[in-house]
Amino acid sequence: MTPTRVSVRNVSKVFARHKATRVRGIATDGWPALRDLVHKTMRRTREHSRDGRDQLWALDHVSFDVAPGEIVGIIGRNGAGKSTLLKILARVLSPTAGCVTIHGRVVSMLELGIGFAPDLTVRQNIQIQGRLAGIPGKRVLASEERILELAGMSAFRDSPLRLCPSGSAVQLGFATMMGLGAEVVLADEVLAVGDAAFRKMCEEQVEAVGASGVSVLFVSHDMAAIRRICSRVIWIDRGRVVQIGSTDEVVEAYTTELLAGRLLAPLTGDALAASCRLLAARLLDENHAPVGALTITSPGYLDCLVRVSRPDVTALVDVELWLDEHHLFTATSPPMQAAQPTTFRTAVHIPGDFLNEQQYQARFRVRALGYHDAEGAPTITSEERLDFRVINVQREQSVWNEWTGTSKGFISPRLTWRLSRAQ
Amino acid sequence: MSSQPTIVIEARADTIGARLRSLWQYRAFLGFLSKEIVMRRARGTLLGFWWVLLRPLMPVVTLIFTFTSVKPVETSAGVPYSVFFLSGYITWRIFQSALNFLPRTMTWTQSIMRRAYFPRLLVPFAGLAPTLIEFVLLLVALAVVVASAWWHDGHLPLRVGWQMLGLVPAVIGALMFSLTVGMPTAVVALFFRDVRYAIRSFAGVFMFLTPVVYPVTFVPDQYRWAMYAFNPMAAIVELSRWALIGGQLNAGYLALSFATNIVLFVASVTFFLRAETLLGDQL
Repeated sequence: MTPTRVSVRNVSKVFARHKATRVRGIATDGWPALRDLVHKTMRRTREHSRDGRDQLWALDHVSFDVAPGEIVGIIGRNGAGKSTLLKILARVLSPTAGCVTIHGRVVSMLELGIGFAPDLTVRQNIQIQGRLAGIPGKRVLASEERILELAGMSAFRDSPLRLCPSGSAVQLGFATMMGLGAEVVLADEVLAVGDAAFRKMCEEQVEAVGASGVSVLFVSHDMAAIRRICSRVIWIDRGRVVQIGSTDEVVEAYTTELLAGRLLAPLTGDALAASCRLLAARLLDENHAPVGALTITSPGYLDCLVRVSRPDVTALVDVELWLDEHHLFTATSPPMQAAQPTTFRTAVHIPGDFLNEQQYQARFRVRALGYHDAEGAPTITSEERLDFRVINVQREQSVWNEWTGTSKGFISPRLTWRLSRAQ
Repeated sequence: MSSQPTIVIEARADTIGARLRSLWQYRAFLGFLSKEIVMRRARGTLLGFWWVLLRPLMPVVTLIFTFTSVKPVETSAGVPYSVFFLSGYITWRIFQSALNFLPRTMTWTQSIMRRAYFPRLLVPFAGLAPTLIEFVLLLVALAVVVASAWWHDGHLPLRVGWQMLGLVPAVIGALMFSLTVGMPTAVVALFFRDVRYAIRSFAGVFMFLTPVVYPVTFVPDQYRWAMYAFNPMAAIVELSRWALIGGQLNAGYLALSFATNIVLFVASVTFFLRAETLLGDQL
């Protein structure tokens, strides 16, 4: 047996950001992207030059090793390069530079959502996953029962996946990944879905396969889960490895940075030459210091700067709070109007014990009172989106005292209960 | 513990040989992809799988009706127009139908490609599955037309003999040329959706530049070379017709056509294999 299972050496991934051109009024980056592809295809090598083109270094010389049986968590902000890394290991993306060596077969679960092949039966789906990992058909058949049992889908084995209960695609994907007997497992945010029981099963399975010598790499935002199951953690930010080390150490450092707000992207003002525009949008903690995350119990502010430069314009800010595709609420600021060009600061208070342990997005939209577009919708002069997390630093602080540390739902307000004996 | 493969992922693209080897390793996946693509067609439609039957048969009925009843076309003696037409159309249809499917296959399998690695070259190959189903259906249609002509005229309108084996290279040639045009198109279709619409109209027009609905004798002698030189499908359709009902066949043109076909096919596969590793960024 080799001492390392996965060896990643100086892996970089550069995405070319093509400037969209307008073709007959439709913005498209098709032409430059296609030109780039043909250009690279025609040339013999695919070396990458750091020339003037607009490039995004999704991964920048990342190196690490994973030993057999190790469960490695990969953490970092959104867009830090975590998923790109997993996709390179799964060979869905090819690296721009560097080398990866993997001793063993790889199964991966990269994107959640609808199942792999919704028209095929559950058993056929298992077969396909096995083939993709390069596991012989006979071995897949041998582990089929175990997988079906893990997924709790023994009753559905011969029905098409699309007719199975919702959520079963994820459960099946996970069970297949764990049950196939591959040496390396790659999982991207698997623990973000499913009910508590399913997640508990996932975590137990990950621990079990880890004990049997399977290496697991998994990306998660759920620090509680990372702490529970990972033996080592890699923290990535802006494509670079910030820290690799023991779970407690790295998670501690990461959460500290998040709370200190040092991981915030530089604030960029909107260059709209409009009468009222948004200069900055930030998340502040209860002491009005900029932060990148809130804790579940402490209050905070969604704060913004608005420049109103004409006396005849009254600006309003709508702050919309979103969780995935769900619009939770809209808070509208008081009107802002001034005789001289003025920069207003306005903030909406987010109470503590209100938001849940989730990844939220605040959309700040500035509009001028009384201006509408052709359809009668208010004209948005500028908009900024701010992603932030609400985290649970201590489990005891949670409204929920169950094992998971994370409760379900969009928000988790602290509600009062009344209990009395019925007459 | 069973043998563990070692996977090395590097920035530079694998050699063509290594790519073809991995194509072989993943051959079992071809069946799944084909099935996925065929099912994808039927999903969400009212008639479902019946479209496979309807799509190729509708033009057959229209064209046969037009060129027998509306504007009859002279064919060689003893062969009814319907048999004449189908003997060439079955091969032509391979090309036309492949151009219809191939540009869409990449988008259809996008969600799979985003999740897992497999040689992307399998996608255009699997994209030929619905085309092959249509081909088999057209063979059945040909058999029906031949049988009815036999019953009607009292003699078999086909030439039975070793020449019929000519259908095999004709079909292979048509499949190759379909991939030659289809693979780059499928890549470009990831960037521009227009390609899908353009290529379909192109195929419709191209049919009339190929001796499918009319015999090659309709084309004046001095232009005929141009048709063969610039249109590999012309010789392929002629070969298929010769294999089934006989007639003349110009060996020189046939060789020219197949030579162009093979050169273009190799170029097209090479382009696809090179573009393969870069496609991930676009998916």
